[in-house]
Amino acid sequence: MGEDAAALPADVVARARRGEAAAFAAIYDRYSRPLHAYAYRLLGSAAAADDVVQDTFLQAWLSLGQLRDDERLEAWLYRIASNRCFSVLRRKRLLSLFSLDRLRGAEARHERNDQEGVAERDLVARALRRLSPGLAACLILRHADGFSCEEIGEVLGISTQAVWTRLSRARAAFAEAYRREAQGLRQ
Amino acid sequence: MSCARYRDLISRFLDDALAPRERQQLLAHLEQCADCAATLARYRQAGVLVGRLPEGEPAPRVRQAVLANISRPAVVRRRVPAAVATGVMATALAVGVAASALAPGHPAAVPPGTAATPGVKADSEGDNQVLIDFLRRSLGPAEAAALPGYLPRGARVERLSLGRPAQAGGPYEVDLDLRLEDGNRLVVRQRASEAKAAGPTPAARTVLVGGREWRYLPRNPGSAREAASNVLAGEVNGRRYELESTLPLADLVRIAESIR
Repeated sequence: MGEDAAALPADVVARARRGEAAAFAAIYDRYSRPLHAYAYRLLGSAAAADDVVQDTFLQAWLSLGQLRDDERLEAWLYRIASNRCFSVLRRKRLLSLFSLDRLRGAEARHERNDQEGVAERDLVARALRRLSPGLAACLILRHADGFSCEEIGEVLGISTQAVWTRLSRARAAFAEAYRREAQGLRQ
Repeated sequence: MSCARYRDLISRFLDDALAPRERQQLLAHLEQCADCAATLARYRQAGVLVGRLPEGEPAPRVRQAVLANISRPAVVRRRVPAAVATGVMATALAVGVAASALAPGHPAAVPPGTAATPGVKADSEGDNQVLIDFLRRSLGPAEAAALPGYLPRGARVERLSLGRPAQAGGPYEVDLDLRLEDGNRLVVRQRASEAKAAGPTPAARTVLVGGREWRYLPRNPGSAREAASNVLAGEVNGRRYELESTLPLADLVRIAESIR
């Protein structure tokens, strides 16, 4: 998947499942950073990404017995993290439904004073947040984490064909959202 | 074929998911259609832009919190005979503890003292499974069963301490200090029944919780101790509980009712 998974010993999951803390720490050290990056890109908040990583690994520790194929560890961790992120986003969207558009104008005005690169990243992040969590996750997993469509299907629990469809909708939705955000910035 | 149909092919083209014939068909169309060529460029740009999003790394406290919680001795899991389990099952379900984890007389998972609980937080959806599982690991099943089954949404453990049992094999005393998502605070204290009850307080009144009388002392800015808290105190199954919180009485009653 995203990075070289061969860095971990083959029996690390089995040892963690038996309660060996050092083995689980090795799993944490291997996957916490990419999972944090994924959650950060999806949520747009480092603190929220910290919470997702913590919850993901605590959940993983408690549920390691449910992982049937140890070689699927990475996809399994990403699936837990995705579900956590989706929960956060659902709640956040309810809270910010009414404030998003009102805030957008103020943020856009503020952006003009920022560095170009920072402004563009925020533009991309804002455009991503206009997508449904499922579509945004597909785009991030594909282009930021470098997952194949088969691997994304495994993470999100959908078929490869469904991933193709989602990616098609996600690219169209993102292109439109990005255009609108960029337009708002220029006004 | 319409341009709308080609848009789907354009996306799959980027994922290398086209059959050779579809691919040839698309490339031929792209040479003639400026709109679809522009769509391909926008989709490519989408990938590039998303790929450039910044990444950070987890704060060091996250690793500490995760490892602090997994390094505690795991609860020994063994099946409880049905006859023995009946009594504790209701308690177990109330606090979200798996029945298979309950073993009568099982020692507490941590020795008395204050457990390291940096930033452990309940599940944000409100089922609090993460927190309850954490408490189960920290306290051991016998002590976890003494805690309320209902914990408010987004609760974060600030401090958790265990007092030595009054007698060998007796229950540990538990102090659980939670910071809630909405800024409120909740302290749950559980003592053995012989612990000295709070003396009569003129401002206190009686509240019925599950048919039993509990004492409620509303927050009183004039009092040094209860300056910021309401206190609800009562007894369940021979153990005395004190809930001290900035939460209103209705919430405290709900929490008290969930104690079995």
